[in-house]
Amino acid sequence: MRVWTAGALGTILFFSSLLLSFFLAKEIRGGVEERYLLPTRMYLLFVPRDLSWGLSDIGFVNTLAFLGYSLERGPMKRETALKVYDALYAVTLYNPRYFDPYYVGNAFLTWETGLYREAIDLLKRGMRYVNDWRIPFYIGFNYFYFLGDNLKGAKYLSLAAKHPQAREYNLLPLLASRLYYEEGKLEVALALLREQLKVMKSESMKGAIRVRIVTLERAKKIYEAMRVFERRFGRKPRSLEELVRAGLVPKDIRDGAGGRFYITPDGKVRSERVLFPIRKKALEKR
Amino acid sequence: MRFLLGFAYITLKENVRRRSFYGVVVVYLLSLLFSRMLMEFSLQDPSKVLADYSYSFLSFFLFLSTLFIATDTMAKDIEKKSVYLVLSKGVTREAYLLGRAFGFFVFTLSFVFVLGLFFLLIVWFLNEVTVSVFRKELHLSAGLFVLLSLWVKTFLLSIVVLFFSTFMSNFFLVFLASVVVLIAGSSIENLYHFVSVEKERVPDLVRYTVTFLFYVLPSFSSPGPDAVLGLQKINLKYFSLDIAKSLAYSGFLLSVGSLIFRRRELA
Repeated sequence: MRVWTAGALGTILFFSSLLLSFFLAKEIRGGVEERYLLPTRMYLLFVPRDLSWGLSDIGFVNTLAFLGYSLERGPMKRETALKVYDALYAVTLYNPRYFDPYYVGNAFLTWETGLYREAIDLLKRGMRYVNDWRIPFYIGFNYFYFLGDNLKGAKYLSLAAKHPQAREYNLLPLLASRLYYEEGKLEVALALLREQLKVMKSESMKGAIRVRIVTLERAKKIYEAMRVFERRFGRKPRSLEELVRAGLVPKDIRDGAGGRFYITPDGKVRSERVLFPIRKKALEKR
Repeated sequence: MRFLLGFAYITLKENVRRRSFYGVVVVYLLSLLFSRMLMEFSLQDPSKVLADYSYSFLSFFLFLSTLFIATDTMAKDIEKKSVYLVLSKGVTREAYLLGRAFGFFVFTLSFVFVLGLFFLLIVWFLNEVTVSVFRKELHLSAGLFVLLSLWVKTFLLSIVVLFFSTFMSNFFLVFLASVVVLIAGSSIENLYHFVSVEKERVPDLVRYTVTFLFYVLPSFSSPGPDAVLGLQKINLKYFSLDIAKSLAYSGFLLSVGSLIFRRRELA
């Protein structure tokens, strides 16, 4: 009799726990609770060091789950996004050589929430620990694309370009040199490209770099000619033709790809094929 | 020396005979398979995730099993009065403690060797079959350094148990006290790092307390999985100092433990 009572009680309790789990599961699916999912610095601080490797990875997976849930429900509030930043910061504080948090942090904090400074802050920590060219590339991209800071953008892009893993991506030195050029740092742009030319292996990529070098060297000559013109005539030249007529640049000066050079109304040198060719039409309209 | 070797042999034999020893090895192998599953959660760094989880499991199983086995061995010796058998053979109490310590030294070596070998093999194999873009280079020599560190730390933990066993008779109390030391000693490096980095934000009292505990407590941290994957170079100076501190700490506990054990009323 006792056995039957214990058995019946056990069965009832087992099914009750299943029923309770059902309601619990419903609750969990119903609400996205950041306090359950997002790890904090304090949470990881008291975890034994050797366990913090695995637990910080779990913390990162939880953060991903939280992001997935939240983004399904529409744009995230700034306060919540800052909590996600804190969670990623906590994960990278205890597991700084894990690449994923930087990767997700860069994608989410910039494109989704506009926390550019925070993303850069997180990535700069990553640069100290992770030897991957993508981290300085992300920082450089965020600086020039989102914050409009070409000089800092170029600095980090050139760091990415110099990374041994990135030697076969000619986009990086080309982009960095363009940003340096925009900021009037022609010498830095040329030095970067010449350095890249030495380490690159692919001939086709070397070709693109050579074209850019030739273009920048000629643009540099034009800038020098513009300064001479200004000293001689007391005003800035309005067009390249004025420089040609003054005998300061050769008539047939072309960019590395054979395109013509222009001087914009704000005094910048552009070229038809290599240096910001898209602006040519706008220039012609003026 | 013959006595020490004999004790080591007995300790090794009695612990390797335990079913729980094989149970731990099997459960660790299962947890390595679980780590393989967790790799799927990674976006760009699966090898790192694999190494992190496998390493955390390794450390967890090593420490927990050493804690149980050492506590149980000492409790059995005292509760079942087998310690009398040894002492009646003319072995001094200090020699008994030293023999047990040497036994744990050999046992933890074999334990770390078995689990550590599985750890290195599985991480190496799964890393090799990962997509080449995400693959990392496994540094075997660094892996051996990491295992050496784990060995010294597990040995230190067994000495902590031995120390508490010299004046506590209750299995549960010895276990609990050792767990407290293990958790405190494992977290203290994180805490010390935190108070050093965030000097301005941490109250002075907390900072001094943490610094004091950092000096006083034994450290149970090891170089970690990043060294095995070659992501972090092992700082040989720090490594040697850490190992030396752990060994000195073990020696200190053994000395104090033998003084206490000498005066302990066993009846």
